Amino acid sequence: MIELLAPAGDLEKLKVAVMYGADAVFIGGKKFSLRARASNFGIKEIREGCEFARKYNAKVYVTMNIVPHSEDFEGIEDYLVELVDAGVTGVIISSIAYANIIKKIAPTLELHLSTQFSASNSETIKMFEELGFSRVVLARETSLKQIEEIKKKTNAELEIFIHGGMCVAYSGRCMLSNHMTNRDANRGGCAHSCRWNYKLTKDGVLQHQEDEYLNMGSKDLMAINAITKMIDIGVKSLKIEGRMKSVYYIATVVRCYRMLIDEYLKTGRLENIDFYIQEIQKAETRQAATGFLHNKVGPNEQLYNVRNDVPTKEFLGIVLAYDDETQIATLEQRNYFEINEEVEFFGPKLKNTNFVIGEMYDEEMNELDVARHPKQIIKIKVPFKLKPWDMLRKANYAN
Amino acid sequence: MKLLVDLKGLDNLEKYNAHGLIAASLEYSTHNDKSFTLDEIKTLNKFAKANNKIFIVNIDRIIEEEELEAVYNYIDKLLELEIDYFIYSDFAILSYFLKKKLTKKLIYDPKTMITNYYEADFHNSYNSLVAINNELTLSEIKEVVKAKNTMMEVYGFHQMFYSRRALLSNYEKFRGEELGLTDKKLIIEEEKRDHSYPIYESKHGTFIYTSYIYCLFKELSELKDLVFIRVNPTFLKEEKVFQVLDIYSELLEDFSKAEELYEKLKLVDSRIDSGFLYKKSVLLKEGVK
Repeated sequence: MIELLAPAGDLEKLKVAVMYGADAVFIGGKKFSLRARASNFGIKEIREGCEFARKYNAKVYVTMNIVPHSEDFEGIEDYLVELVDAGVTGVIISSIAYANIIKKIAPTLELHLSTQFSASNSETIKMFEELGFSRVVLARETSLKQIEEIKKKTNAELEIFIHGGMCVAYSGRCMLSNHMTNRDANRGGCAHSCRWNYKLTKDGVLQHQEDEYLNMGSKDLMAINAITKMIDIGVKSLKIEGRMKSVYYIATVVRCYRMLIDEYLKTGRLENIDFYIQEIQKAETRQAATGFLHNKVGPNEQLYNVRNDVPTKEFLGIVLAYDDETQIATLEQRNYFEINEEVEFFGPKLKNTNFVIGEMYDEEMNELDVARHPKQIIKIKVPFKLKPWDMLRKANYAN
Repeated sequence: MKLLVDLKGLDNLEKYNAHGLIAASLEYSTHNDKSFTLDEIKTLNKFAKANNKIFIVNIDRIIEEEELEAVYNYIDKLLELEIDYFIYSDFAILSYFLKKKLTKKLIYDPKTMITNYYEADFHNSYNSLVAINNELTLSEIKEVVKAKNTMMEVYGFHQMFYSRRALLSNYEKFRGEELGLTDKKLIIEEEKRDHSYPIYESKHGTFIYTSYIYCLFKELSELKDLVFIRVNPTFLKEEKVFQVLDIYSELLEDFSKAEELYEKLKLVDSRIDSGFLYKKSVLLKEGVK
């Protein structure tokens, strides 16, 4: 069965990812993991995350994908024992030294080769099968055609990135951040230097106007139109990137791919792929393309003249409770909204449902015209049943 | 400890004062400012053998699925020449040499991945060598060399970025202008920083190099377990390379002359820098929790 694998930067995101349809999540511990700022799972949180995931028959993988220096071995054996005890299914690593320790100390943990190793062909994957790896995350530079060939020739499970940020270099082969900011990307400190503005000169002559720059950053990956092919090929795991993304992003993207996969597995076709593209765009704040999946990348896959992501304000609130008798939903506000505004509820089991806000109150049931304070507790009369963790967003997101 | 150098051409071969010569494969190496056809490699191999020099072919590119058969055929042709060593970064190459029972001819050089003793020592199980990451501190390097199977790039603009993407020609296409940006050295400079970085796009991708010439010299007396040291002449004039090789060769004969020779080395090119030898990288920007 194909696996939808989601990122989780903290326990709340883990729960949202699982409830919204992820078959597995990947998380980072406080040590040994890339995305240092997103890695805030202590062992206590990892244990709680595993217990939660188990209720939904979902798995938890832990990233230990730094390229370790000598000091990065301290405490690893105790950590591995704790991961096993917490109920973790597998670890994502790029270090063969780590693999050897894991096989000795925690042989029940699955070994997944990180994309940091840029595995791009079947012979490399067979080498890692021999070394005891059960899964390989392929380089993001592989095309669908190559993935198909690799699948035919290998036994290891293949994990493919389907959505989210893309390194512009081969993963693990970029030291820009280290040299420019002294932050080592291979140990979790990536400063995203590839997304900065650069002057380009040839023989001392600027190759563009004074107020222009060379950009090298990549558009994000969005593989909606390639999922059915990946399922047909026999890819084991479809991976969404973004441990630092919001709960709303996780909910929207995971739910969208969940619906798409389920429709294809149930019917053998997709009725309306545009629906899924529109769904994803409700959460997406960055430009996206299909990366290397269909071809070598051209300018359409690159970002030019884009300085910053625009924060989305589509996410309005998250449902905390619903009273069947009074039909009052209690929400935590995340962005400004007001009465008479058309909004959309959605959830793990709730189809997109539009609704115009009529009555709105604060926590003490004082009437409100607007919900303007982040994290404010808001009560709204809603004529259909909601559940905790359902979410509220703008209905006219495209406008 | 033996001195290796990447070749910059077919002429002046006798001036390359080193124990070993490295030829970059035109088809299967990452960017080196000079790479060689198979016929040229045959010529260079003859020269090396006639002059009792170690001869190494660099095939360090990441290999794509449809290239496997071709790269293995290519290796077979090279093996007939009895090449001494092959520099590689893709485990597909290791896989093939394992089948041939020839892994003792391999030097694993992924640039970034050999960062600790254990990673290096793993390759001892294949009786093969590894290239140490150039972003390590001196004390970290001292730990790694204990594996006794290591090579280190000790001089040159170091490749710090390898992308499959054609970043410069994509930029040309975006601009809609023919700017002639490929197959030549260009310079990028970040808008708020004053360091300049060489960038080069070849048919194999885009490569960015350090803003300085990485130089590990005086410290070599503390790293005598290094099997090979490598001078990388990318973007350097051949005359300078010859001077650098003479100085390193003299050092290897007498480490006590390190201070005096280092002063001479500085005169060859002042852009030398110790990189991370005495500077530890951090995980987070200061103030970020």
